[in-house]
Amino acid sequence: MTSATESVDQEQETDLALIGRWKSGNHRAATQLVGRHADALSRFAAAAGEREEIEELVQDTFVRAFSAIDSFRGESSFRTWLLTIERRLMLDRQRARKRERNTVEIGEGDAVSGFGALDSIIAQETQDRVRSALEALSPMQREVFTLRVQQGLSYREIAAVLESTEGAARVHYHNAAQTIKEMLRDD
Amino acid sequence: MTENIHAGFRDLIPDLVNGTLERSRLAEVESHLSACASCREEASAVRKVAESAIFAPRMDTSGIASAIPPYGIGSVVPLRVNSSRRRFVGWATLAAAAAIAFIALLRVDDGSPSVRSTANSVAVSSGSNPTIGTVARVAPQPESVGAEGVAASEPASQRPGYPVRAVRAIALAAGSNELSSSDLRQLMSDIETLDARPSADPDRVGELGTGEEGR
Repeated sequence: MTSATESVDQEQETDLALIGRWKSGNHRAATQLVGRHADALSRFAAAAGEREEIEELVQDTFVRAFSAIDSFRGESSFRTWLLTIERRLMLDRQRARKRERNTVEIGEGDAVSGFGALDSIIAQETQDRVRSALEALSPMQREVFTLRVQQGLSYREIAAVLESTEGAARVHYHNAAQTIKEMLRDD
Repeated sequence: MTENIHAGFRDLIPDLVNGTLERSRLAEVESHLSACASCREEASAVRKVAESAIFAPRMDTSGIASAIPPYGIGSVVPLRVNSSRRRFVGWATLAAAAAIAFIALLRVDDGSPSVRSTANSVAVSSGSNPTIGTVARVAPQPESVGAEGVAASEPASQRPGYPVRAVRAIALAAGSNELSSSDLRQLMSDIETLDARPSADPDRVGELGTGEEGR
């Protein structure tokens, strides 16, 4: 039997091995790493409300990550590290948009917002209630909930991505789950 | 105490929904859910969100990987330029081109003191008080310009009067909000008299704007 922790360790080991091969000049290893994590980054960006040029954002994330690969110590998973970088880029984008339009609010600790984008993200009409429930969350709650439920991250990993504490991530998750439960309650 | 028990199980609901819950905890969590309506309801809600169709564009793996620089290149970030940045670059290029064209217009003259006087006037003033207003005060005094800025290293112009007027025009332009209507008319007239003949002596062009003359 393989526990979740062991499987995470194995995946991390494999990521580290691929990183090592890329550092040795094997560019195909980088392609493998991109193939392994790009869709997860895309989903996180979409769920967080990014609506413009998600592929550019994901590419930017990988380029920055590989350019600074020596600062990755393997203390978290490679994906967690990538998500951290991507989140920072999303915040940068949002600040840039705010400067451009001077109307977009950055709320609750500069968490990623702009969730109106979900109008085009969650496509099926039958899922309107899910969309409404997610929209009811604060930006920070939404990020935590997305990372926990859709990315399957632990609270420790979420804290790393959000550059916050494990306890804060746990509180945000439980508050989000409570709201979601109430919003999706069957009458 | 009871709340802590619930919180402990609720923590594990996402792992249960995603199928990543450790088997050693699986039976325990399922048993709790079967007995606890509140936690069961939360698990149902979490499952609905987890299974909701979130649209996210598929990534072009090879395209993204091709943008990754080889190891050791450093923080090269060959990002795609988005449309707004492209627009900015376009405007910046136009502005730079306009500035270069303006400078080139000044330098086109065959190295006459009109150009060097202007540059030297700026250099002279920058040594003590680097403001444009200082230039405007210095420039209308042809003798001092000639003495400090030009005569020390260059012969006087072959066309007396023209360099001084050109200097005055350009210098006054820096403080144009203080000009009267007649001054403005004079300024426009002076500008029209600027001679833009191509230089026959390229070496002299290099003397413009080194900023060292007045120090």
